[in-house]
This record gives sequence, structure tokens and C-alpha cells, in this order.
Amino acid sequence: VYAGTPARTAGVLTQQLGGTADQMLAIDMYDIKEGDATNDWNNIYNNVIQPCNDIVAQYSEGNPHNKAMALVIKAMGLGVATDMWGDVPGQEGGMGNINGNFSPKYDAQKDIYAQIQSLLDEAIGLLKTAGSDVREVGANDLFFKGDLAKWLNTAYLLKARYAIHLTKKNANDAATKALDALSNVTNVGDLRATYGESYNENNQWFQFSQGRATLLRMGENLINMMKASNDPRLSVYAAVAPGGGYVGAAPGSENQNASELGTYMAGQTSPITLAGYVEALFIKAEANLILGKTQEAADAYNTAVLTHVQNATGSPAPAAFVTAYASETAASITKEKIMNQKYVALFAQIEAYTDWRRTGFPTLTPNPHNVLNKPAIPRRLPTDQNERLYNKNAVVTSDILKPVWWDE
Amino acid sequence: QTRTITGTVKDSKGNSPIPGVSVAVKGKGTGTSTGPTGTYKLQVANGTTLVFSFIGYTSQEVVVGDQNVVDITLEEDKKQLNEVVVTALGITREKKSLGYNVQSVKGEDLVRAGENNIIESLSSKAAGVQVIGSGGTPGASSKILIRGNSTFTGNNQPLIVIDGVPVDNSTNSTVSQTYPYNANLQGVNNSNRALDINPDDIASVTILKGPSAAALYGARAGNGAIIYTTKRGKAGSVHVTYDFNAGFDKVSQLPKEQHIYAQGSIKNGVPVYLPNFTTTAPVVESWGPKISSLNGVTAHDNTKDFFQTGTNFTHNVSATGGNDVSTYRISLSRADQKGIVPNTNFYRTSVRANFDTKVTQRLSMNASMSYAATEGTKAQNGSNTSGVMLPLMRTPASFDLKDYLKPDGSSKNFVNNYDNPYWTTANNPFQDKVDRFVGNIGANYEINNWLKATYKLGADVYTDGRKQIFAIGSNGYPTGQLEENTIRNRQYYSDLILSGHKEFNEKYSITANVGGNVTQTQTQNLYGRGTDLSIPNYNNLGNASTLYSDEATVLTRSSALFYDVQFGYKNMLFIGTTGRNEWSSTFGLHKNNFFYPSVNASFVFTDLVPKNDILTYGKLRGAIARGGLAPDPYTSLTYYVKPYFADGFTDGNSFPFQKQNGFVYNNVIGNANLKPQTAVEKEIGLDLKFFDARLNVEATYYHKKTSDLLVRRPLAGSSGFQKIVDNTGAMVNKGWEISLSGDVIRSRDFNWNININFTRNKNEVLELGEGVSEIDVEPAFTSIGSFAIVGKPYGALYASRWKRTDKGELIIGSNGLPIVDAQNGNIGNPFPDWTAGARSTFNYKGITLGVLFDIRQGGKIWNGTIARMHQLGRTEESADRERTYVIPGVTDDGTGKLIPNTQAITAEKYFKSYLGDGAGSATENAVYDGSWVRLREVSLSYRWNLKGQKIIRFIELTGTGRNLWLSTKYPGVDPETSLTGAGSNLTGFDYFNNPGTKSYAIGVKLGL
Repeated sequence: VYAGTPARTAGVLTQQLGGTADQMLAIDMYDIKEGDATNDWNNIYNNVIQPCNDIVAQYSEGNPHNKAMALVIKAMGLGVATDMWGDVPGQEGGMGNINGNFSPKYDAQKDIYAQIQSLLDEAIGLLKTAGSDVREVGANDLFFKGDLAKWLNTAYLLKARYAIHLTKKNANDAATKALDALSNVTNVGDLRATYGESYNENNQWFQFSQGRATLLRMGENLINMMKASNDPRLSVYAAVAPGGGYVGAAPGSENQNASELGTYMAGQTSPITLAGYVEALFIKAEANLILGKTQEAADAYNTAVLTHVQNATGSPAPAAFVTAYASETAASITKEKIMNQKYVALFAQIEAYTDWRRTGFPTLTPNPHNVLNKPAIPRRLPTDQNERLYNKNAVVTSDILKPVWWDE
Repeated sequence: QTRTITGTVKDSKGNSPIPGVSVAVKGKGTGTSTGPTGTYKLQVANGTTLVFSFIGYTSQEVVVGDQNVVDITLEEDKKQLNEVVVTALGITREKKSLGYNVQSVKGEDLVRAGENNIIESLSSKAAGVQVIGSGGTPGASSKILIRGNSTFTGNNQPLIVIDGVPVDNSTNSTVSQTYPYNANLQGVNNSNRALDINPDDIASVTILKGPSAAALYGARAGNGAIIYTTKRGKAGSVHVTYDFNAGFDKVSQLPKEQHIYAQGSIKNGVPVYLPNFTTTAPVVESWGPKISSLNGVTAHDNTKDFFQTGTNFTHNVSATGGNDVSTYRISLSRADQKGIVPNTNFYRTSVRANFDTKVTQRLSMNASMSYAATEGTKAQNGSNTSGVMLPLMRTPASFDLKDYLKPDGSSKNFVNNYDNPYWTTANNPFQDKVDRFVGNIGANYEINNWLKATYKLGADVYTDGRKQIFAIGSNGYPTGQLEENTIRNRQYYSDLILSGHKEFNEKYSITANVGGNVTQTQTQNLYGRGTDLSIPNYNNLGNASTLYSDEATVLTRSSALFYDVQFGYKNMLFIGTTGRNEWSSTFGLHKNNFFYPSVNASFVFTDLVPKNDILTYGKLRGAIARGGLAPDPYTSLTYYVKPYFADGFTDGNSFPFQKQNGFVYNNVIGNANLKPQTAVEKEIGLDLKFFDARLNVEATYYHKKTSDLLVRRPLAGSSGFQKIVDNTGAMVNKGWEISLSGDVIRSRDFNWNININFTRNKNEVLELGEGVSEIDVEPAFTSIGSFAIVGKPYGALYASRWKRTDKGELIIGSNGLPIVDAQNGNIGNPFPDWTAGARSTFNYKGITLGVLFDIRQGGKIWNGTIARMHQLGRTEESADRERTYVIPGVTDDGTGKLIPNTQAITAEKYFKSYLGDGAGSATENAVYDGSWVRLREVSLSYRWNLKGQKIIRFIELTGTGRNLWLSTKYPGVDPETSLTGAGSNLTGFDYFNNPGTKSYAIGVKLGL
């Protein structure tokens, strides 16, 4: 999902990416249909939430840490689903094998958000349980090799993420809760998906660029933004365009001569950060700014930018870039600056789309030729076709311009 | 005064002796019958009248004069009033006693057009039967449906039986368990395994069309059964037959392309030539300027240049012979086919030996063995990186595909993620090699003069070894990949039947069969894949640096007890009933056995009316039966599998992942309460023969309701599963089958015979379970699916549609293009309204001319090929681009009122987003009518019967043509096409399918 249709859709709609042919061009034209993301919807519920429920139901006895990891993963799955689709099954989702419920009730997004927080709270409690599990995960844990401190850190980070999403509802409350959670977050290790050289282990952005080469290019908005700031990450984000230099595809341009994705996101074994310290710092900056703590906001922002440049390029940011983009003060820091740099740092992540929807930054111009014939960018995915057809309790929303609850 | 006369009885056609002919003295009730060599010896008085009679031949009377030798030649009986047919379990019956319709096809009709596949050669030869070929590549599968589809997710094809033993006709696909999508869409169009049978060995085929006819086969024959009977030996001196057939195949029909405009795009309203195929990002469109306006650029007809003339050579040698005790037939055959796609081929070498022997007066035994080595090389089709049609159709005319090699030997591609077709057919072959043994032994013991016992034991064993090579430098696998797949299949079958026949008072008769059978099938599928090859052209798994393998095994067993009883009254009224109780390992855990009954009746009413010149024979028949279909193996269980994470665009991530294995529940949840699905079929029919059987009509109406359908019912993904196997819903097939045959001219030298088969089947999904009105039959593409929708035929095409007014007019948006409906819906039905086959045969002395027309009315096909070609500016139509288009429809005048659309749009927009599959288009635009009228077969043959010749008995010369003429409005390849082949239930999909063929052949046959 983080490297599948939802992530590509998010990237194209936020103009970090450009859909230049076929199905990706369709997204670029806001021609988004109810069957487009079925595989990803199924991945979330069949391969993420269902196995997590399975672990909780069948294997949690004597294995509190296993259970906690399952709850964290489930919270992330629900988070992606609700941010892209709005109201989704929460309590009753992925329970088919456990209680035979094949038409799970849809929960209001507000309630899904409450569930995410309580799943994470429960996970935090369990992760703090002393002793070891009957079946230790240990080296089988592809993320943290069973390091509970890192899982705990991730759980808090996710609490902050899903708290700050609610700024349109109650900004102060969102900021306070986010900061509260972040007080437990340090730079102990990011939750990252890692990839291998075998075909079935490849980074999926890479595989997409191999098998579907004409479909996707860098987006003009992001490329221009990074060129304007001489961003040192540009050379790893984007490949050199066929005509030389770095070129982004404008919405609807079908410009296949634009740059392809670079090795940062789309290398054969490039890892993808699912929840990391840089994101935590940006949340910290935004939350502090909301609460009027501008100095803390500026500090967090500067650290976030510098850390991310270091992470992405492997070397410290050049002085000129630091001066221009990582030297904010209490007086100069703005929400737009925070969100724009977060937009760059969380490249090709669903978070960037969520952030744009709730803050309006960066400022985007809708594709003027879009098939919806309206000067607006879609704000959600339509309810999945199979849900409409086979779940009698589905709450169907086909209008992709309708905001989700936290975006209202 | 009596004396001894002798003689030989021969068949008028083959000039071969006929054993078992009754030679009776008229009015006396005495007589004899001919021996295995067709000879007889009898004591008669002068002036006696002898009556020579045998089933299938016209009786002949001869008055004995003073001669000592009376040789007789019997003519085949064209009236066929006493026709005998093989029914279920090898039981032979007089056709007049059957209450259901069966149709027979003679072996010689199967081989006439030189088809290598005994399924394909049934097309348009029997009513109620639909054969769907996959395209003209050698060995591609053919699918057969009888009386429509009767299940959703399982196998819809009939059971194939050879000499009483069921054989495997699977179309296995090669795919790793990590492959996340529908395996039928991937790779090549694999063969259906009936391809291993040599058509020349077939004596006759009987088609048991539905549960009524096939109830005795139980769950396996829920879709009917096709009974092949092989040729057997004849007593007498050795007769050898040799024939040779040489066929030539050409592409039958292709989408029409434009060769005017070059590669490029329209920039700011101006076509720009963009020949940058050397970079990784070629412009795949043909929206550039005119080729004639460009210096040094010429137009190429890549498609025409690519396809070659295919060849098909077959040799058959057979020998028959025997004596009073034993007879034999031995045959050897070889088929040698090269396809229209370069480097594709099909080879089959087969031997068969059939023996029959009388061990004692009461015990006879028989054996039948065949071995076939079938192999071939296939090309990928559809949207596969090594498919051939996709790059052929997409490549602009300004690019020459023939120039396909780079100096380093790698492929010079046009479409960068698809291989050059010349390179791929040379470097990325898919090869399969099958060794197959099919055989059975049987014993027949006559307990007394009314009761006998037969036992049969059969085996069908094959190994199918396949290899797919992706050479280093191929686009899908730049570092090279090898796939090795071995499928081992073993099927054992055995039955024991007690049969009795008794007559009482010359009025009543009873025929009964009681028995049991056991079947076991075992399949092992081994898959190995090696990637990252080190040495070019060393196609051995040892050359791979990364290896993956998996295995799947399936074991099923079923056993049954059955009876078949028939009562007859005055050889005029017959009532029969059958029943079978079956135990199967694939039924759910709660109930593992089911009962399948049937009742049928036939009434030969002409026996009650006085003999007249008009109506020679009339029979009314009716039958009702319940058939079944067992669940697929292991569907009653929810089991763990290795999950894959894929989004429809890439092959995704799967386990083992970074040396960690992983399992989650299969996305299909099991169901322990599964029952077999049941089909209740009622049929009534009328068989009439007029004017001394010059005009024959068989008409049948059937109504088959399938309920408790075994459905892989889709679930909302949010349940945690995608599907559940369930007995859900009901479907009905009803229709007419009419066979009409007539001798227009019947004379000594000239005969003209017409044979027409008409089929109309209407399928309707009646219900799909509570709250469900639509389900996805089998995953296809994200843009289009095959659905079962309540009130519509099964397999309805389901995709995006245009938004329309109540009157059906398109609603045009402010950009001049129609608006797409937010929700997908039904956009057409791929099954024909009716089909017909009409054969005309002319005989003049030794010359025979046969003409077979095939008509299909209706049946929609999704032509994804043409939609994409429109989008890319490749179609002939899209060459008309220096103008604007106005799409007929209505548009909002700004006040909410709908007025006719007058807004002109550019040709580019018109072809990309209205006719094509570009952004903003609806898939419904690519659905076309697949009706056709075709000259399916035409054959001309001449036979010299060389009487008195010692060495050569006859010579036959034939010239045949297949698909020589095709009339269809379908804008693509031959609409007899199937993307996913016989292993799939998807129908009506054409996405860069390989084209069909038309063929010419000449043959010679020698009788020695």
C-alpha cells in the first residue's frame, strides 16, 4: 500500500508525481474509478488487519509483545484506509474467520480515529509488559528484530500522527495530544520497509518503474520547488531526464521526457520509511506553532529538514541550503514553511496528501483539463467496487471531491 | 434337395468383410451368421430366399438359384431406424429406445479438415455444442460447452471419455504460487490435454448433452459427456491404411491499421515527430506527422511482414487384422505443425494398439493402449511482456520491427516494456513436452444367455514438462529467467457392471445394468524458477543465481453404485430410469455422498399408425434428471498460504521475503458445509423421419436449472477475505437443439445430402444469494470483468459505462466528451443468441464434395486491442484525423436543460477518450458484436476402389480448406478467439490475442 496505488495516487494528486500514461494518466486526469484500488483495499484488510486480528484472537495468550506489534500494525492499516476512503470498517473489519461477519459495519471516521488511538494505547501497555513471550518474535521481526523499545517509540509516533491529522476539527487539542505523544519519541529507529535483490523482494516503486516505465514521472510541482531551493535531495529523488537536467511532468502533460523516480524512493532495494523520526519532528514543529510556541516550532523544523537531508543524501546539507531552508527562527517560522518542507521530506507518502488536504499546503493548482470538469483536486478515493456490491453495510461514497470527516 | 452354399458378405463402401451378419432362410426361422472373416456356409434348397441383415445396413434378399457361391455386398442403411449408440458407461442402446437426445459424429468427419485437436474438430458439427478456439497458434486450447455454462467458478466443460474410461482434458497453466493474479491471463495459451489423442484413431463420437444422458457418470458429468470410441480391429487378412495430409495456414483476419502517420505526439495542436526509441522513454503513439512528409522515414507494414505461412503435415498408418478368436488394430501417427508465428510449433507422435480376443466361448477380453509424445513451442499472447500481438499492433508504421537486433545481440525494442516480437519469438520460447499413456483392459463374461458381467480398468497417466525461457536482455526479465514446470497426473478408473436383458411374451422387455465404479486422481505440480542468469543461452536452472520453487499436490477419490433399468413394450414404448449414489472426497465434511436419479421415456408412435409414404418414423421422447458437480478439492477448508502484496501493476512482494517465511489465511475462506451443485434438467423432443427417411428431424427443447451453485462468491475485502466457496444461487439454461438432415437427391450415382444443426441457448442467472445481485466470475482486468448478474446471462461483461439519458443518449460534458458513469455496470453478453452449422455433401461416383457453413448470431466481445490502437492512433479509422468530430448526444445548455451536442473536438481527443481507452473513456466503447458467417470447412475428395487389385485396395485424394471465408463486422482478429483459453471461464475477451487462421490442405489415403 505504501508503494502501491494509494501511494501513487497520493503522489500524483499532490503533484509530487506525474501520471504520464494509461492508468496513472487517468489519475492525473482525476479519472479515478471504484475498481482501481481493489487490490490495495484487499491488502489492507486481508493481509494486514485480518492476520493482526488472527494473532490477537489465537496467539495473544502468553504473547503480549506479539499482540502489541499486531495492534500497532493494525492501527497503521486502519489509518491508511480511513485517510484514503473516509468511513471504513473498524471494529468489525477483518473478522470473517473469527466470527463469520462478512458484511462489516462501517464506522464513522471519527470513531476509527478513536479506535486507532485506543489500539495504540493498548499496544503501549502491552509493550511495557515485563518478561518475554512464549513465542518470541526476535529475528523474525523484519522491522526491529524484536526490539520492543523501537516498537514503543513507533506506537507513540503513530499516536502523534493520528492526533495531528485532526487539526481542522480542533487544532489546539490535536496539537496538544500530538506533543503529548511525541514526548515519548526519540530517534531510536524508524519503522522502515526493507527490500532485497530477489525479484519478489524488490522495492515496488522500482518494480513499477521497470514494468510500467511509461506510466509515472516526477511531478512538475515538486521538481520546480526543489530546483528553486537548490535542494540537495533532488539528485536522489529524481533521475536525470532524457533531455538532461531534472524535469517534472505537469498535470495532464503526458510528458514522458520528464525525470523518472530516483534511487531514494525507487532503487531496487531502497527502503521505504513508514513512520520515522523526521515525520515526528515535523509534527512537533506544526503542533508547537499551533500552540504559539514558535521557538520550539522553529527548532523542530530546522532539525527535521537537516536530519532528512542527511538521511536521504548521506551527507549534511550544504551551507546555502541550511541558511535558506533550515535556519528558521521564532519570528520567521510559518505553517507554510513547515508543511512545504514536510511535503518534500515525505515524498511519495500518503501523509503528504493528508497534510495537503488538512492544511492546504503546498498550494496546488488543479489540473485544468481534468475529466471532472471542475477546478478541484480529488479529496478521497471512491468506495471500493466490491464493498458496494457485496457489503450490505457499506457506506458508499462515489464523489471523490467530497472531503473525509477530518477534512470537512 | 438341399446343398451347401458358401459366400462372403462385404461392406459396399470399404469393400471389407462384415462379421456377424445374420443369414436367414425366409419363412423358416433357420439360418446362420457370418464369421470373423465375413464368410458363411449354409445348407439350402433351390429356390430358397435368403435374408442378409445387419444393424446399420439395409437388409437384402436373394433367391438362391443353382449357384454354389452367393457373395453379397450390403449397403449402409441411410434410414438408420435401428441405429445403435454408445451411451454412458459404454452401454450400447438402440437409439429409438432413448428418451433423451444424443448426437453422434463419425470419426471421418473429425479428421476431414485436418484439425489436430479432437475438441476443435467438433465445432459446428453437433447441436447444443459450442466450441471456442483460442486462436491460430499451434496447440492452443479449445474449449467446449454443451447446453451453456452450468457453473460459475469450476469447470464448465463436459467429461471426456475414451472407450469407456474418463480421461483428463485439463488446460493447466504454468505459474508460481507467488503470482498474484489470474494465471490464465499470464503466459501462453496452453493446450487442453485432449490434444494428445490422435483424431485418426477415433471411430465415432457420441455427445451426451446433459444430466439425462450423463446421470450415470454422476458429479463429473454435470456438464455432459463426450464419448469417443476408438477404431477396433476386423478379422481377416491384414489391411493397412496410410494417409498423408499437408496443410498450409495463413492469418485469417487482423485489425486494420494505418500506415500514414508517424510516431509522435500532438504538441499545441501540431503533430510532432518523436522518434526517440533509443531512450528508455519512447513515445509509443502514432500521432505524429505524415510519414510521407518526413525525410528518410518510410512506412512499414510490420504486422503483415511478421506472420508467416504455417504448415501442418500429418501421417497416419494403421493395420487391422485377426482371426476367429482375436482381432487387432495398430496405428502410428505423426503430426508436424509450424505456426503462423515464427518459431511456434506442435509435434505429436502417437501409437495405439487395440486387441480383442475370445478366451472361451463365454469370456472375451480386450485391451486398448495408447502412448503419445506431444510437444510444442508456443508464443505468449495478450498483455505479456513477450507477447507478439501487442508490440505488433502498437508499433508506429514509421518504425521497422524487422530491424530487431542491436550490435550486442540484444533486442531493439520499440515499446520499451514489451519485447520486439522477432526477438522474443527467437529468444523467449515456451516449450512443453508431454508423455502420455492412456489405456484400459476389460473382460466380458456371459454368465448365461441373458446376463453378462463386464469389468474395466483404465489408467490415464501423463507428465507435462514445460520450460519458459526469458533470455538475458528480455524486457520483463533483463537479467534472464527460466521457469521449469512439471505436472504429473495420474488417473485410475475401474468399473464392474452386471447387465441383463430379458423378453417376455414377445411384448415386454427389460434391460438392466447394475454396477459400481471407483476413480482416483492424483496431480503433482512442481514449479521451479531461476533468475539472474550468468551465461547467455545456457538454459539450465544451474545457470541461475537466484532460485525459487514450489509444489502443489491434489488427491481426489470418488466411488459410486449405480443402476440403469429400462422397460420396453412391443419395441415401441420404452421407459428407463437410472440412479447413482456417489461418495466423493471433495464434498464437504458434513455430507460426503449424494444421489443422482433420472427417468426417461420414448414412444415410437409410428408403430401405431399405418405404414405410409410420408412419415416413416416418429418418436416422442422426454427425460428428467438430476446431475451434479462436486466442489473443487480442498474448498471445504480454510488453509494458510504464503501471502503476496501486489497492487495489480507489479508482481508485488511475496514470501519467503528476506529469508523469512510467512503464512496467512488464504483469501478464499473455506466452507465445511459444501454440497455438490445440482442441475435438474428436463428435456422433451421429437424425432421424425419422412419420405422413407429422406428427411430427418430431431428437435429437442431443454430446460436445465442449476441450483446450489458452487460459487466462489466475492466478499467485501473488509471482511478479511476476498471470496468464500458457497452453494449460492441458481441459474437456468434453456434452449432448442434442432438437427435436420435430408437427402435432396438420392440416386445410384449422385447423392446430395444436407445436414443442419441449430442451437439456441439462453442462460440467465436467477439468484445469487441474499442481498447479492452481481458477482465477479473470475478476475480479469481492473478495467473490465466477467460477472454473474441476476437477470442477465452468466459471464456478462462488466465495466465502466457512459452516462446516458433515459432514452439512451450520451450525456456530453462541457469538454465535448461524454461523461462516464460513476459506477460500473453490465456492458454486454459474450454468448451468442444462436449458432448453426450447415453441411452439404455431394457424392458423384467416387467424388465427394463437402461444404460446412458455420453461423454465429450475437455474442459481444470486448476488443481491448482496438481501443488501445485507437488511443495510440494506430487504427485505420484514426487516420481520418485532419478534421474535428462531434459526438452525438445531449449536453447541458448551462441551465440544466439538455440540448443536442454540437461541440466539435479534435480527432486526437475523439480517438483517445471516446473510441480509445484513454483517460476519461468508458470501457463500453470497446464492446463489439462477434457475429459471423464462415465457411468452416470445404473438402473435395475422390476415391478409387481398386477391386481385384492385390496390393492396393483403394486410393483417396482430398483437398480441404478451413475458414476460407469469414464474414464478420468484428474489427479485430477472427472473433473465434479466447484470451484465457479453455482453463478459464472468461469469455469474450480480446486483448492483443493471437490471430486465428485459415488453412488449405491436400491429402492422400491408400488402402493396402
